[in-house]
Amino acid sequence: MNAQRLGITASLSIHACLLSLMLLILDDKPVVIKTFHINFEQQEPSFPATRKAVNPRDSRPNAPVPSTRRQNVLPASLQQQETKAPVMNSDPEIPIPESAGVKGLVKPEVQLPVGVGIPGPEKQGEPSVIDTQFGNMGAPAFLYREMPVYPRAARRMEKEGKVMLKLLIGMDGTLNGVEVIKSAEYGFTEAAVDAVKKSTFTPAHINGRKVASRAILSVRFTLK
Amino acid sequence: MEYLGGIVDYGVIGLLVLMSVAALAIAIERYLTYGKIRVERFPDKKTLEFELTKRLHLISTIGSNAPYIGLLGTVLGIMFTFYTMGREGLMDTGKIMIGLALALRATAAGLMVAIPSIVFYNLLLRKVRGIVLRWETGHGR
Repeated sequence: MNAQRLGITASLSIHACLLSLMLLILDDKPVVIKTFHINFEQQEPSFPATRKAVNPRDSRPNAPVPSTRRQNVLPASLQQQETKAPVMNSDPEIPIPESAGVKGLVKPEVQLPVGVGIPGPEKQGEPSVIDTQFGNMGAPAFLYREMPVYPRAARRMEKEGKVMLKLLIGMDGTLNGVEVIKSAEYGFTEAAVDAVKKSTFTPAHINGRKVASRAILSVRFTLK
Repeated sequence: MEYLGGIVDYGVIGLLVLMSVAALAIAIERYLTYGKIRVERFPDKKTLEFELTKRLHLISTIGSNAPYIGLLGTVLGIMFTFYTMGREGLMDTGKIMIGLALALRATAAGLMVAIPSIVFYNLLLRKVRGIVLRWETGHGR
């Protein structure tokens, strides 16, 4: 009995010492990792590979606004704007007539300077969440869009290019990250990324609630 | 699956600590007993052996099972980490790595319990053997 009790107490005390030692030595604060919490409610559509002008499901008889549900392949030149929100201060929108209902918006390129033929970033990748009400479902949008500067070397060599960026836009509309999905040479990628970083955004909405989102932005540099 | 994190932290590591305490306590007690035993009080060898090896199997069990319990904790922790990462849709490698590192500490704890236990067990076995041989020489076998 004596030996047993002695053994138990000795063991307990030794373990207490060891554990406290370990806790003292190994106790570091849990690292706060800054993660971007991104809602995966936005699906990424496939990139516009071909020019498909007809998207028959876009027509909604009563909707006065462009409906862009279920678009898988977006024509490259048509500007598809998926929200009614006042997007860019410089881009007037032409709403789709209800009967036609097949085309997206066509943005006149009024504000583009001569010689820099950027047809405007196309906002693909914003919510192709299906079957939501159009007014509610929001996509992140440019609050102020800084136009990319056409790289001089490329302009001299008369090169065109297309850059595809994935923008991580937080719930408050701040740009949390930029990922280059498809890059181009001659400085197109850097120009696009710089412009995007200088722009400000409004966040995406799902049912009126602001959500963080990932939006794919395609910036095409063409010479006119 | 959220409780998996708690199970690993408190359950597995707590169990390992308990096992370690028990193993050390038994080892100390046995060692003290072996120091005090008087072989001439035992009429035959079997009784002596029985008395000597009384709690040794516990130490052996703890020593051989502790790594598995630690491994179980690690596996649960990794499962939990991947499940959480998959559900959040995040591929933040930093967070994944930290989750895995914390899960691996269960294995480390298991090993830290097992290594001294096996050492004690072997030492005590050797002592038992020594005492039995002492008895044998004393009884002219």
